[in-house]
Amino acid sequence: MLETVELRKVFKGKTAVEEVSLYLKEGESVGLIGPNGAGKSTTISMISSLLKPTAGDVRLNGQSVIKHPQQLRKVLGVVPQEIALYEELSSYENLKFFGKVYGLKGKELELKIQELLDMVGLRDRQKELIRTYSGGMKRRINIAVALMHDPKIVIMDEPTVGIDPQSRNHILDTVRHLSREKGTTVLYTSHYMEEVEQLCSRMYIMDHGRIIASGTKEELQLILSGEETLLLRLDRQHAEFTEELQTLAAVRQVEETELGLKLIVTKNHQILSRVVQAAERFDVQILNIHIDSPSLEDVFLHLTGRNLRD
Amino acid sequence: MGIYFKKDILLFWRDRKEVLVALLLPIALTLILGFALPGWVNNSNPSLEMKVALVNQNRHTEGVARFHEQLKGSLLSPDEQDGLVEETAMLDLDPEAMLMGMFRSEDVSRYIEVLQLDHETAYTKLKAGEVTAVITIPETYTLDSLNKLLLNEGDGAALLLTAEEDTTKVSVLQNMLNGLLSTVNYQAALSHAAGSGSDGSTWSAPRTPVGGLERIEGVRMITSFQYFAFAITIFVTLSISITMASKSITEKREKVFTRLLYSGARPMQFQLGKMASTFCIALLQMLVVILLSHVLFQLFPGRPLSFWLGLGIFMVLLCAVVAAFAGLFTAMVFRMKDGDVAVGISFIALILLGVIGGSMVPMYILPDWLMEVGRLTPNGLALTSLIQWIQGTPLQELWLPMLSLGIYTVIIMAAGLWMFPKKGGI
Ligand SMILES: Nc1ncnc2c1ncn2[C@@H]1O[C@H](COP(=O)(O)OP(=O)(O)O)[C@@H](O)[C@H]1O
Ligand SMILES: [Mg+2]
Repeated sequence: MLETVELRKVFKGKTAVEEVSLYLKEGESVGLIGPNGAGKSTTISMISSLLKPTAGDVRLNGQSVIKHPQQLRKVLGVVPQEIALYEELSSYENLKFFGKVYGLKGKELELKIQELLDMVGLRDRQKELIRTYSGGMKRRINIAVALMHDPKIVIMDEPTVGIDPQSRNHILDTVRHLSREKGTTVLYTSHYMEEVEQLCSRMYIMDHGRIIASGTKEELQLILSGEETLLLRLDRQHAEFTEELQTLAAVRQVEETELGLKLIVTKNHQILSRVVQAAERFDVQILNIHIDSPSLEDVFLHLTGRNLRD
Repeated sequence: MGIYFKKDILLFWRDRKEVLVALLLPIALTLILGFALPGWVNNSNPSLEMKVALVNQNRHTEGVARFHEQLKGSLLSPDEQDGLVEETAMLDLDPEAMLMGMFRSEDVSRYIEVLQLDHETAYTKLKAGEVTAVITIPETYTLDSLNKLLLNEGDGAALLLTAEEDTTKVSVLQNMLNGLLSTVNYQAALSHAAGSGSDGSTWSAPRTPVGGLERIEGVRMITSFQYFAFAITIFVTLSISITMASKSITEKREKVFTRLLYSGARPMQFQLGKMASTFCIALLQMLVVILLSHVLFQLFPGRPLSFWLGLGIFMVLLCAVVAAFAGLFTAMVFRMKDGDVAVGISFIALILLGVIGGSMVPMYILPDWLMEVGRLTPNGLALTSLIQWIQGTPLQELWLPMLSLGIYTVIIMAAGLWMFPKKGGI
């Protein structure tokens, strides 16, 4: 339905997005995940034809929409990363205003407003000014506004940044509702892996302006299929011990956690005994060992060498 | 466009602080300045030096003769008639001598130069601006005076003061003549009372046999309240363009404008909506403030509807300029990286306009060339034409400033539309 072909954006000599090719099939929910500054918002701006790509193309049903975005704009709803609402107007007034901009009027407009207010759970507070809302409530209206014209494709740019759990659940429910009940195609951007895992059937992992991996959850986990995660609970942190572990051939990554260490290791029968021996040598007590298959966050760490969030 | 228009009106209305400032500030300032500087009006000039033409059309001898004839034909007894004739001879009624006496006195002659001219020359010089005013002693001055003074018949005589423009100079002259006339009246009444044999000490309320000073059409004083009400209101109205444009800082920063672009909205409609709403708010604000000031300060008692319509025309023209400014400032907010800087620049521009256009300080403290420039600013144009209208200049003679205001609107609006980002690019 919607695809990008080798999108590239250079801001004053600094490349923000490079060779981004992604596609959305009709009715699909797709995640776009990456740390801050990865280029997610820039990509979205180019898809929604607000920003002209330095190179590459955006296509809707096979037709380029860069020059003539009208067709796309009709079917596309964008939830911006910022809360783009009039603070001095109520949520009802905001929805009404943006609904009218989309050409809705009369009864249809009123019905749509109430339907969306219901959907985001703010119907009984529609007369209150946005200014008086909590961050989470603002985010919910921010989404509702983008849905006023019943878009077939919805792009959400980090809709759950810094909000309370209740609002977050509301938003996740809304996305599920859109995709299941309405068959809406969703591109969901986030730096919370668990959200994307829950909502999306496929995902793209982005870092430094490039897509570095893509696929279903299972496909991505296969990247680390020859590996497993060891969670060690230790009585204390010990720098030399940590360094020692890093020298072991089977150990791909060592990370300090609150209670001890997290190791990603190549599947290897001897690894446990090696770790235990090292612990004894440095007089570190291992309280507990947990062996797990790697999570998507581990995949991300593996691919980028850094965490999704700092 | 209607959508944006409504949104902007609503946003303005939600900000009660702005609404109150727009309405109360001009009224409060008018009140304060109106009382603090009662004598100061727009055209005041620190120098009072002036040339005045004196036209004496009085036929003194003929007047006396006619009065005597009238007496003969009256029902008065011959004795009474003789008494009155005697009195006529005693009264010193020569108004020209009396006026010249005043103008030649030392402190008056320092700043007023009198030219004794015939009617035609005097008015030619007045039109040419060579004299500030013409004082005319009418033909029947002597006769009217005698009738009023001795027989208490008629309205008494009057001096005519004609001026092209209403300026402080003219009002100074007017005050002087009034002062002179009341002295003359007092003396005349006194001498008449003494002449008719009454006891001078029992003489009471002075009559006013010589009448008052008559000002003729085209010369109306503008009061300081009228002046300030407009000078200040015009500036506050002008500043509404900035209030409206500054709302766009938020629209830009909080990306609501971006969101509008997602919808495929046409940026021009957004800007036109901004201008239309500014126009309505500005006009409403002006009307409310002027009407309230009228009620509070009795600005224009007894003026006909046509007068108010004329005021309305100038207000509409001014508000169109204000709306165009709002469009331009909005475009600047979107074009410049920092919207606050754009508003800052607009504000400085507005203050400058206010200062040289006479909205903030008396124009006369400015150098002459700047004063000329000031009269050409939109607010200066509006202010001077409003003042002229209040003073009775007919609308036909004010078409140039009206046209200029229209041209301002078109140019500023075109600049704003041109500057506004067409699409994307934000
Ligand atoms: N208008 C711009 N001008 C210059 N650099 C920009 C601009 N917008 C984004 N960038 C840069 O592009 C990179 C990607 O930013 P962004 O797309 O916002 O990342 P994300 O949304 O993934 O956090 C960042 O390094 C950012 O600083
Ligand atoms: Mg972003």
